[in-house]
Amino acid sequence: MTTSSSFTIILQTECDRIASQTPTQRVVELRVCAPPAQVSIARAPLNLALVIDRSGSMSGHKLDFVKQAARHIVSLLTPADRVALVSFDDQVTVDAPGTHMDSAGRDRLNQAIDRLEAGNTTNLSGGWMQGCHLVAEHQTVGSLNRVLLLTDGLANRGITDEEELGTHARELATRGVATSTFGVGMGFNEHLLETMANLGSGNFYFIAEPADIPGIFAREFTEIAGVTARGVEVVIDLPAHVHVEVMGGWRHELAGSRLHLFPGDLTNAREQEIYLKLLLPQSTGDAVLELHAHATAQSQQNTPLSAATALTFTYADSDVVAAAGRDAGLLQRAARVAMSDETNRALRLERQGRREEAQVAMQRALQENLPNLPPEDVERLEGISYRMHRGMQEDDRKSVQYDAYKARRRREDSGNH
Amino acid sequence: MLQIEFLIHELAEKSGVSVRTIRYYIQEGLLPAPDNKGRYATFNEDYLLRLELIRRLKDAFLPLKEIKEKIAGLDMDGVRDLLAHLGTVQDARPEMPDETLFDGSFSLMQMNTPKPLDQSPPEDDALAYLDRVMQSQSIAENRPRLRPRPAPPAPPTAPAESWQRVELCPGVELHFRTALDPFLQRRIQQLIDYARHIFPSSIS
Repeated sequence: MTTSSSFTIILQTECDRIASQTPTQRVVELRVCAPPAQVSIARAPLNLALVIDRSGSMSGHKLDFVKQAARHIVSLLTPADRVALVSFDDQVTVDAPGTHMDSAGRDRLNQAIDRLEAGNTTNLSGGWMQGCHLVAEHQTVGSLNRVLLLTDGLANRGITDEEELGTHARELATRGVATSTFGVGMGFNEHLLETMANLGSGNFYFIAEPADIPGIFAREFTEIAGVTARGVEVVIDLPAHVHVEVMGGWRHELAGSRLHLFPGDLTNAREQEIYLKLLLPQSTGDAVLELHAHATAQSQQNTPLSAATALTFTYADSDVVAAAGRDAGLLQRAARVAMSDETNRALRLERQGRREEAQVAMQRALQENLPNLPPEDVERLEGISYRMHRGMQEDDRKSVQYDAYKARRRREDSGNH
Repeated sequence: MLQIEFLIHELAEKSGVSVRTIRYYIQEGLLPAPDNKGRYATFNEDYLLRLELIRRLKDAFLPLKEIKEKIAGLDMDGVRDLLAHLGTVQDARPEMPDETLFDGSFSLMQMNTPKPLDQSPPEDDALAYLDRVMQSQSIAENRPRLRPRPAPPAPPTAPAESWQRVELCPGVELHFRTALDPFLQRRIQQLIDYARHIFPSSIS
């Protein structure tokens, strides 16, 4: 393993012995760790857009909390940072274009925040794209560009299709503009917002109580301001005939025998785990099979960061492989991510009224992962599976989806409350 | 009059518009093709004004196609006139289409197919990408509605159910649906066991 400025990458598997005569399935745990923040170094200038839903349902205390949250973020920024404010109902309004946060800019933005008023239907795509546009206009080398999209409703104007919005989020993330999404209350589409955040290299938050809006906005801000590895990309070179599946909904591309993974921006010493399911071929005469991984990113000072590692599998007779020890902890971590992926899929079926299919999918996934899950997880998942079959309440759907999201991204520590 | 000339990256720096976007504007006909006297394309100060005009029109939410129609063929006096005009009516925005004209299915017609997997960096930057998408989107929104909006899916109905009733003691009953999954059946049995414990005389 090589590192620079304690930017590290580690590859681990539950067992590095694989069968010579037959293909072997293995889980690989990839850990990328961002360098710790250096206090003496100014953080990258932030180039943000706050995109706020002001459709009718946001009126009253929801919008008041949003204003409070937005004003708080403005108060935390420095003159090198830029913020734009966009609000949308059926129309999209640029309440403030990208503005430097010097004292005049701050005043201007706070005035724009105060003027926000609730309107009618929800042109989510229009508002989001306008926010992306304002950020893109001021994209510079070294700036950290992100759009924060807050909504409580369904996209019902403009582009409303999840796959299409997801594609745009991915394309914009590829071009350096990330998206984080905040769903407030019970009326929004959690799958749409999670997809936009996953493909947009940002974070997704479910905010059940409007009073939590300021706290969660502040948390996202802390995370953005603490980024020490920007635009992390991991490239894994796969030997011939290796099949790979990326768990956890991470943005990735498979180009020939190269897997590109995009964990996005990583905060101060945060370690991000990503799990891969591999099917490894039988030996064609070689004694070992090697995976090489290389991670790159930009540092706080905008210098390149790089780290590399390799993982070696050794071929052996099947009885030796069967007798070899397994890393139970790693298998448990991967099984939780796998179950969260399945829960997410089953929740979509449940929402479409396909309850039988949802339950069958959950039960099948549970059977597959049972040996690696602790009893309390099994009990919880059995309960979810039952409730899917019966039909779920909206708050239950959203909580289960949000828990699954945090587990998929290994963000359990940053729970809602 | 001697004109100051810039290279494309200098123009980008001065105008705050990225090199890629400038190239994109030239390609789309929003900017005239530059002078190619020497090895490198050079741009005079007029380009700064033209870029400023494009920015103002974009601020007014005009799609690139309409911007092009407005400014193609404008000489520098025309550019200055329009800029001066925009300075006073900057806030006027084109009217958004009536909602009844919008058919949600158009967004699907505009849908991007997933990008083919390649390793090369994207050819355009975020700004040019957004201009392209937002323009096609506004065209889609302005199209007349050809067929009725699809009806929202009917709320899922519960499957046929049968219920079981267990009397825990006189005046207290437990209702539950039959054919529950094993997890819940175990729980109900535990509940009945517990009830047997706290209502000792009443459960048969």
